[in-house]
Amino acid sequence: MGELDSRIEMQRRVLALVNGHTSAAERLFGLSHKAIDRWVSANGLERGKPLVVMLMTIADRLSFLAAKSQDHLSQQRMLAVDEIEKVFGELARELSKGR
Amino acid sequence: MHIYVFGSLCRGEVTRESDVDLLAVVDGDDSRFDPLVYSVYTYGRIRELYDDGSPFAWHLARESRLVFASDNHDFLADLGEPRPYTRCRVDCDMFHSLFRGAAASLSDQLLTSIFDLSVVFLSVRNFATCYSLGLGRPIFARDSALRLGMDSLNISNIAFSALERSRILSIRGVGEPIHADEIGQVVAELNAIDEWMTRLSEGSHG
Repeated sequence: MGELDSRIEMQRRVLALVNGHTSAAERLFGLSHKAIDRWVSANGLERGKPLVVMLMTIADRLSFLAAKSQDHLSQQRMLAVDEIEKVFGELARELSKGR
Repeated sequence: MHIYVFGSLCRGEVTRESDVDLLAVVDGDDSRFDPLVYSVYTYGRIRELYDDGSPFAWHLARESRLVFASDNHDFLADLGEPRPYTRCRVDCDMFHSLFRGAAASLSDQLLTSIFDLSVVFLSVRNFATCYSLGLGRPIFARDSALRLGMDSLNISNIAFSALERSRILSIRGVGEPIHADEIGQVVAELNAIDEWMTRLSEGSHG
């Protein structure tokens, strides 16, 4: 799977996880900061809520990967991928608590 | 440091949903530039992209305007034209594959439908841009797929509008939500989009 494909698929996984676990008035449409801001505002969420912080962290790491998309083997890139997977796991646990 | 504006503003395409595409060319890391606001590249990386003949390099060469130059020289203009674009077929195939992934996801479930529509739009737009660049007549507009003359994508206005609005919703978080019937209109056109990409890929150059 190419690098762009991987980032798209990770976004899809996160969105499916969030939209499948929350009964929000409006679904999360993307993992850009602005899309997350819209979702937070539309659903009356608190920005400091762990769920929101985790989404922003994943968004930041994905932006970093997009900027480093040509550096296939960089250590920083691999660390970012690992961090995304770690936070994804935390997000799944958080959502399963029903918070 | 060199700062450029590029993209839709340089084409004079301005809407309320438009953003301003800014490029910052710098030496190494420069924390003054927020990567959420600027596309930040080093001078070396820009030279590599020009040597590679990448679509982004061609986009900058054709549609950028200098805003600030620390040395009073236009860095991009001084680079001249990028090398010829030689990856048309490879890049078109990549975006075709991206489209098929989004189409499959749309057929499987609805939890990520707006995101999947936005990926369809991304695929269609970039496929058309790469195809047009391969012909030596690059079109970087958001509706590039509709500006290819006889090779233009032929889908309903409602479907294309839903795709475009989904992209804006997914990236910029603005606009009206996409209704179920609009999503249905897009799903009904997925085969037509796939056939369009297949047909153009078979005739693509480079």
